[in-house]
Amino acid sequence: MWIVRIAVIVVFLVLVEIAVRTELINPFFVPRPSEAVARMGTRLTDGEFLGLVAVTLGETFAGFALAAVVGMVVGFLLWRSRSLGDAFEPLVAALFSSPIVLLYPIFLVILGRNSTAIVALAAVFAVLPTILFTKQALSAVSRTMLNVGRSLNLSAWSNFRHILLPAAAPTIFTGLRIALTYVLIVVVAMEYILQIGGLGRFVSESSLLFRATDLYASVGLIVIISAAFIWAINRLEKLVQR
Amino acid sequence: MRKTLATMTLLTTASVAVAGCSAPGGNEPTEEGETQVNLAFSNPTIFTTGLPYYVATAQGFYEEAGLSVDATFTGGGSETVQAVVSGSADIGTETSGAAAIGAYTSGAPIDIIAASTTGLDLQWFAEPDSGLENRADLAGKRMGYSSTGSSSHIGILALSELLEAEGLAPAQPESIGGPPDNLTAVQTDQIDAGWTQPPFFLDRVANGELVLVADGAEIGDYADVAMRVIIGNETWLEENPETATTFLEVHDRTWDWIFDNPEEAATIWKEAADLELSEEVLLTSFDYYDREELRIAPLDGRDVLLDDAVEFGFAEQPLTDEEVNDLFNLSYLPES
Repeated sequence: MWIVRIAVIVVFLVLVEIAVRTELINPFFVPRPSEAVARMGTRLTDGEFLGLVAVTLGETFAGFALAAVVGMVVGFLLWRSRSLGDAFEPLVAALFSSPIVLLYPIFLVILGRNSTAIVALAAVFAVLPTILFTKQALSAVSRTMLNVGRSLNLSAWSNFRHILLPAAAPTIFTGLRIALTYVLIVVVAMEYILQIGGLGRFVSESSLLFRATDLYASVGLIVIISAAFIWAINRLEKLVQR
Repeated sequence: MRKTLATMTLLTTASVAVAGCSAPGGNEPTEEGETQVNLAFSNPTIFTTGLPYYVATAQGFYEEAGLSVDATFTGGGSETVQAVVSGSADIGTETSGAAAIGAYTSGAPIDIIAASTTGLDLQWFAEPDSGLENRADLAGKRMGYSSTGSSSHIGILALSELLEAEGLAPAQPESIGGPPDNLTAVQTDQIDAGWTQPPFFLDRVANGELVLVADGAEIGDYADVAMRVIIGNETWLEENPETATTFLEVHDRTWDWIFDNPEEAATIWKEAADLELSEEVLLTSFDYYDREELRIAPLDGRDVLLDDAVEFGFAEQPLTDEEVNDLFNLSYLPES
């Protein structure tokens, strides 16, 4: 299947390459994909992208770690306490569908115009799906399985590790996948808007300086990073389910 | 499955093609028979940007000349150039010369067709307890500008160069936005100094809420340089040369009217831009600008603009004489 996926991407890039070369697409707005790929390689080898990637990845990991830890703990608490769950789940769901990212000026005022503000905003945005999916995942675990654990006198930890976690993991990981995607989007978008930080700032500057090849090279790199994240979290999911 | 994938690939390619094929053409006349002109400029509340548009609209100058002008507001600098390059706007006013030169060297189909503001009319302010009192105090400090390539950005880059020549640390430019955004950023300690243009915040300076730290006149020798210019989309200009000339003629005539009728202009400005400042404060703008600084011609200081564009990284290499002649196309200026 992955061969088909790569084939679709290659066909798409070849079509764009032809369209740009024949000037069906204005080369000022869209550079040749071959040129953008070559530029990505150059910027990676000359070290320019490495520093930017390090900043963006640092912010993304920090935001994701915060969202994952807080989200899973809160989701667990909402599952454990029915009254808490009933009270707060609709609120979290409502916030999840709100454009929280528009609150960024408040984060800048409180935390300053720096990476901390970007990490905090990304974490706040991503914590919501983590909470919801964790709570839903735990609620969906079969009562029969939990009763089996009790009848075998499993400790609380063993019950959690061997019954609750494996049963809930697929849904929790769906939440984490969404959270990771949101964190990366918010981090790059905020870097773009604020023109601080890593790859998002580079995309913004390339756009404002009309450097289309750099623009597409950096956007391509962000897409690759995003795909790598999804692959990594899928691997992690499989490890946890073992 | 294969058919679906092929369709998706084709559709995506087609959408990229559509996005990449922006080309403005001749504008259709409106129902009233006026020629449509799409205009882009930044920070519409500011004297040099919004005022001529508001006055020309309110006084019917555009209509009299057979023009129907629609304005798009940008974040300044390269964003105005982007609007013109993409065809969202036919003409951009008050955009920095360096940003336009940088865009041109990347292949942007634009012409610089007139001067807009000559000299660097910016001021930088800070909180009174910031300890910032003069230009030298800005060494290593976070300074706000509107958008990459804007005159406020160029001002900070030029200031940094000056500070480094004096053995001090360069300032740290931060893209913040217009003067109100800079005020918020200064008050919340996101930056140390923000930019403004007269008369905004000068009342706060007068009553001690803010202090002025540096003035554009102190930064580089820009007094005789057209720091901001009027640009046009090359394709649109070629197809609408008379409309471009008419627009420039109306723009220049509007400035004449503004300087002849400052009180009326201030009233229009306050209402159209929905400003809270009193008309008395708005009228103090005329203490800072004279008519000559806002003339569309001559376009002075091209060499400085070209040097700055390269020095500050907007253009990767100097323009050839042929490119300079192609970019600075003053053939649309009205004969008078």
